[in-house]
Amino acid sequence: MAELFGNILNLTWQQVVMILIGGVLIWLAIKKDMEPALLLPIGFGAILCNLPLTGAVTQIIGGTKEIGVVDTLFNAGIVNELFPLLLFIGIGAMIDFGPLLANPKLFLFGAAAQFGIFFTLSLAALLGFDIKDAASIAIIGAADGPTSIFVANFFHSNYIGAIVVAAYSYMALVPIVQPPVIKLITTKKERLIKMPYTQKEISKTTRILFPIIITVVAGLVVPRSVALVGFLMFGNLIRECGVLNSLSESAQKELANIITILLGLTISTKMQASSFLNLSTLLIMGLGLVAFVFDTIGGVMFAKFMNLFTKNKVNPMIGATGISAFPMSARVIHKMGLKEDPQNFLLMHAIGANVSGQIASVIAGGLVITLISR
Amino acid sequence: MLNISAFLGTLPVMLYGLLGIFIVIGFIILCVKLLTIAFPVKKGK
Repeated sequence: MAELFGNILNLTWQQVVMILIGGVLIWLAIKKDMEPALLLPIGFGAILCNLPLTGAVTQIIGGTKEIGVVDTLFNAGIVNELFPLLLFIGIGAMIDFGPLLANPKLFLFGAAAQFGIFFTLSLAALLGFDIKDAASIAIIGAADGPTSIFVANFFHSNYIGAIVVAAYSYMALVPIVQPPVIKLITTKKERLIKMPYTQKEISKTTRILFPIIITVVAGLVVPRSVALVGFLMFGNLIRECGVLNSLSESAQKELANIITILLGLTISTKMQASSFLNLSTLLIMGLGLVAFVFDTIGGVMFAKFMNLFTKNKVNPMIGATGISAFPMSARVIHKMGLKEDPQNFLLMHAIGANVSGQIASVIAGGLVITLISR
Repeated sequence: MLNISAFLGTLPVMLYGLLGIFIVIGFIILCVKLLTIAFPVKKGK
């Protein structure tokens, strides 16, 4: 009987808390439909990795080191940055850059909405985090899971588990985080600014050359971003070339889905109670929220700044869609615009700015790595 | 305890980082504008 039930006595209260946290993430994924593709595997993985003496994670059992399967996957796909980069191929294949190419000034909102990353970097350093950990925490503001994993892993951050949970949680909470911030820093008159949309066709040649040129430009200026930008743009190129439809579909569906399953489950090895349950995790969750809030503020304030000089005014809410949480942020702002004026259709502008955030966030990730590594 | 010196040390990172993003994005905008001029949609398509 002791062999059957003895392991229950090995369970610590911290592990029980982590198992409950795993349960909460699963509940959020299923009941609230919050980023279920990631939160469910992460939640289940948290349960797997916090059961004592299991084979899921590397442990010393009976004096022998046993390599756990989740750690094996972590070493195979996270330590070498493989999983996030492969996922980026799928993401690139899903993105239509058409609305952005038709109105390239929307790129500027993608740049402005990365402000939260750098603001949070300074705040995290002020609060006592080591500079590399501060950078890893700040990249939550990229609002992009693979970029957050890539940068946090590059800096060998001990907080990668909390960072990933924060990144994906806040991406799912964009409909709750962004609207109050936007309402606080804009006036009703500004939110009512109309932005008429004229569809502009983009040639196939432009669509094909765009990912190649972006890769070369980003690679020459920010070489550390080449892996992220390159894989994203490769995915987009196989979508736009027109001769690889089956590969594009596979990238968008099978590849993205397989990597998503492995990524979520694998990251949970960093959610073991001993490393996750501490004050730093709470601080990181708070800093992640700060990053998202100041991303929103950065984008909106830049739009207001632009309006000082431009004849055709920009609705400042579009600035908030410069974060990389695609397409959630675009949908949120479109709904906010309709709520203010049912005749104000901001969707295409919002989508353009939102996809620019994808590019700007990976460039920001590369810049953070470059500047902190120096 | 607040680490003021570390905070001040990150301010150049903030400056160069934001400047860097805008410079790269500015260059990308220029490339896109040139692309759309050089390769317009063919009429009739």
